[in-house]
Amino acid sequence: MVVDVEAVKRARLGDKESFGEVYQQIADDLYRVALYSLGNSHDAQDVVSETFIEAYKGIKNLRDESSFKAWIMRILSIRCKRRIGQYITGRNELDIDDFLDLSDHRTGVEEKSTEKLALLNALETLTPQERQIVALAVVQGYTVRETAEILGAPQGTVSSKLHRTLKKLRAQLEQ
Amino acid sequence: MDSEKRQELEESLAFLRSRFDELNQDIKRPHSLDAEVLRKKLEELEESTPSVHPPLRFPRRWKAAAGIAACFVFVAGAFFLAGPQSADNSLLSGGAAETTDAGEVSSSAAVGAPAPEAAMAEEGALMKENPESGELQDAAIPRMAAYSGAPGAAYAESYAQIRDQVYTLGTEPETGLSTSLRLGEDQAVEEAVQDSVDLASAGVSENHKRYETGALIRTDGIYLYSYVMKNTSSTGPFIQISTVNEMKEVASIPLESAIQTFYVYGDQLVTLSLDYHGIPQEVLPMETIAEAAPLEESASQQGNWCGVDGDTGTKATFYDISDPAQPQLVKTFQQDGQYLSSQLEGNTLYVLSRWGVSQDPTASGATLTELVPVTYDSSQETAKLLEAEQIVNNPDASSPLYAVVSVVDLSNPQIQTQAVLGGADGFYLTSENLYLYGNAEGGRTNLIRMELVPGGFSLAASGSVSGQLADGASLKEQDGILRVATTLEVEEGSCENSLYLLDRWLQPVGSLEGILKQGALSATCYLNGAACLSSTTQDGSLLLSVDLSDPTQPKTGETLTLPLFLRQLHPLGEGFALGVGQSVESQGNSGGLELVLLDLSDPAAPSLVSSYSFGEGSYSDVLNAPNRLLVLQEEQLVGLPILTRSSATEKERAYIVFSWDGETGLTQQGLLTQTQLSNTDYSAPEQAAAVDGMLYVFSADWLTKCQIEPWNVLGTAQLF
Repeated sequence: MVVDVEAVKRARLGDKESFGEVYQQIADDLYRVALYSLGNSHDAQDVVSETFIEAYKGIKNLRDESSFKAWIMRILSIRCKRRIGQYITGRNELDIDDFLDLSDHRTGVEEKSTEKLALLNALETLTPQERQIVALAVVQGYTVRETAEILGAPQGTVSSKLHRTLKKLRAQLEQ
Repeated sequence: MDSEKRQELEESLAFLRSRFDELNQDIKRPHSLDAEVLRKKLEELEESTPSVHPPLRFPRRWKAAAGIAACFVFVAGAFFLAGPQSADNSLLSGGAAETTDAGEVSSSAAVGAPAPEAAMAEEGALMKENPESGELQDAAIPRMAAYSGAPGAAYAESYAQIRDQVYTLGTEPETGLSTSLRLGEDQAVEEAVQDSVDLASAGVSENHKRYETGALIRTDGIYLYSYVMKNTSSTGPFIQISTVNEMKEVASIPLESAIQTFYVYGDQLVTLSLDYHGIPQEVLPMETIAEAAPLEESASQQGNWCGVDGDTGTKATFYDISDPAQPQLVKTFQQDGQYLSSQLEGNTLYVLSRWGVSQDPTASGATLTELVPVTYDSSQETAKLLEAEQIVNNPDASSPLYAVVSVVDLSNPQIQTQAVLGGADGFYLTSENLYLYGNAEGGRTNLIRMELVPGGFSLAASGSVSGQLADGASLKEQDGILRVATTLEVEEGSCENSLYLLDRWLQPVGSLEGILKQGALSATCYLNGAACLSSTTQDGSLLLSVDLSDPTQPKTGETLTLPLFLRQLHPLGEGFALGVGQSVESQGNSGGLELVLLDLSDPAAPSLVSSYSFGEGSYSDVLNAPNRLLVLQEEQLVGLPILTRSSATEKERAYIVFSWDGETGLTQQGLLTQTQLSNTDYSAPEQAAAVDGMLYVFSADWLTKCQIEPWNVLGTAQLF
C-alpha cells in the first residue's frame, strides 16, 4: 500500500486525522509482519498498538516524509524484537487459528487448504527472528537492503540469513 | 552473495510468495487495530492523570504508619561494555568504532580505584597507571570513581556528551548505528559473526537467555509469604502471610497490580513491579536539554530519529512487617526502565532495569527527563535526574538504551543509582563485584565490573569476549578470576565455543577456544575448581569438564556423550550436578522432560550416574525458569514442578521430590499431584519452600504442607 506523503506532512504538524489516515494505509502491513514474527494475534495486536502510539508521539521528528513507511516499520521491528526477547527459548509455536479465516463455519480447520497448513507448519520450524525476516522480505516484498535497514542489521547478514531460511522453508514444503 | 546463491534466493522467493499470498488472504486485521480505536486509546492515555504522589494505600486492617524508609534504588543499568572508544563524540560524528576481530578479547582496565572521597579530593588530572605498560597517564576524573576508562567505558562528563551520544545512537542505520562491519571486507567472516547480531539487537541471546521468574513463595522460617495472582476467582493480587506451623493466615497485603517478584529481609518485605503510570509529572524536574546543554549553532542534524521504548518504569514498594499481623506500607520508589532482574544478597538488594530514549534529544523543548533516567522516592518532594557523573558512557553502544542499576542497603537508607548508556542483559554478583553483561555487535559479549564499595558501587573495569554467554550461569568468579563461557555460531550447524579466564581488569589470563565444536553451548556450571560445559547436537549432548586449578593452563578432560538435549546444569555439591533437559526421542523442544545425575568430581572423566525420564510430552517450568528448581544441598534433595501425560489429551501436574546419591542416583522421594488438591487448573503445584524438614508447596490457590522424610502430605490451606 502506498502512503500518502502529503498526509504524512500534515501528520507531522500535529494533524491527528492525517495521522490516522496514514496509519490506516499501512496498518494491514504492520499487523501482518507482527503476526508472522510473533506467531499469535494477541502479541501482534499489542506491538502494533504500541507502534501506533510511539509513531504518533515521534512523527514530529520524522524529517523525510517519504520514508514514513520504513520508519514506522522499523519501530515495529524494534517492538517485535523486544517481545521476542521475552519469549522462552525455543518457543516457535504459531497460533494457527490466528492465521486462518474461520468465519466460514461450514468448514473446520481440518478442511482448510492443506497447502496453507503445510506452510504454517513449516513456519513453525523457524525461530521468531527468522520469521521476521521472511515477513519483511517475502510477505511484504522488501528488498534485502530495505529489510536490513528496517532490522538495523548489515545487508550481508540479512542476505545470508534469508537465503538459509528460505532454503529451510522450501525443503519443508517440498517434502 | 555469489550469483548461484542469488539465483537460488530469487527462485525461493518466487516459490514462496505465491504460497504466502494465499495465506495472507485469510489474515484479517482485528478491529482493535483500527485507527479510530487506537486514537481513542491514545486520547485516553493522554487524558488520564498519573496518580498524584501515589497515596500510601493501607489495607483496612492496617493503621496509618510512618515506616522506616529503606532506600531502594533501582538502578537498572544496562552496561554496555566498551570496546574501542570512538574518537569524537560530537553531534556531527557518526558511526561507531570498528569491532575487534572475532576471537579476541579486549579490555580496558581501571587502576585500583581509590575511594570516591579520595578521588574527589584530588586536584587536577589524576595520573593512572596503565596496567599493561606501567606508565602513568592522564585520565578523566569521573566523580564516582577513579576509573581511567580509556579506551572504553567511562563516566560521562556532561549532559551534552550524553545528548550527543544518544542522538548518534538513535538516528537511522546509515548515520547512527554501528557500521563496524563494512560490506565487502572479509564478507565471509562478517556474515558468519553477524548471525549473532540479530539476536544481540533483540537484546537477549537465544543461547544464553535465562528466563527469570519471580518468587511465588518465600519463608523466613516463621512465616510463609505467598503471592496470589489476580484471577477470576480470587480478589488478588495480594501477598498472604501465614504461619509455618499451621499455615494459618495472619495477614494479607493487597497489591496495586501484578508484581515481578518480592523479597523478605528482616522486618521488611519489598515487591518489584512494572510501573506503567510513570513518575508523576508534578514531581519531575522540567529543565530542558537545551537549557542544560545548549546545542552549538553550527551543529546540524542528519537522518531520522528513531527512538526506543521509554515508557515503562519499575516500582519498588516497601512494607514494614515487624508486626506480621499488621503489615504497613512504608513508601514506594520508582525508576525509569523496564524491570529486568534483581537479587538480594545479605541485606543488599540489587535491581536492574532497562530504559530507552524515545524522544529526539535535539528536538525543541525536549526535557532532561527524556534524556537520562529519573528516580523518585515517594518520601521525597521531587524526583531526581541521574547526574552525568552517575552515567557510564559507552561510545560503542548500539542503541539509545540505558541499563539502570540500583543498590539498596536495606539496613539503612543508603541508595545508590547508576546507569550505563548501551545495554545489559543481566548481572552476576559476587561478594565484591557486580558484573554486568550484554550482547554486543559482532557476536561479542560486553562485560563490566563494578566494584562493591561501602555505600554503593563503582566502575572498575570493562572488556569484551568473543561469543555470547551460553546461559545465565556462564559466569563464575573464583579467586579473583572471572570464568566466562561463550558460544558463537560461525556457520550453520557449527559453533565456536570458548572459555575465557579474565583477571580483575578483565584481561585474559587463560582461554580455551574451539571446544565442543558440534553445536552451541547450552549449559554450563562450575564446581570444585572446574568448569563443566555442554553443547547440544542433533543427536543429544556432549559434556566436557575443564580443570581450572591453574587458570593460565586450563585442561580439558574426556567428553561425555549424553542421550538427551541438556538445557541446564545445577551444582548439587560434592562434585555432583543435576542436568535438566529433554528427550532425544522428539526433535527440537518438544521432547519429554529428563533429569540426569552427573559425577563431575574428576574433571578428567565426567560420568553419568543415573537418569530419570518423565515420558513423552512431559515438561517442567524449570526448563524456562531455572529458579523454580529447589535444591537442598545438605539434605541431598531436589524438587521441581512437572507436567506428565498419559495420553495426548490426558495430563497431570505435580510437584516431585528426588533424593540423590552418588551410588544409587536419583530416587523419587515424594509426589504431590494436582488432583490431590482440586480439579481446577489453578491448583497446579508451581514452587516450594523448605523449612525444618517440611516442604511447603505453592499452587495458585493452595498451600500444601508435606513432610519430606518419610514423605507424607500433612495438610492444605486454601489461599482464596
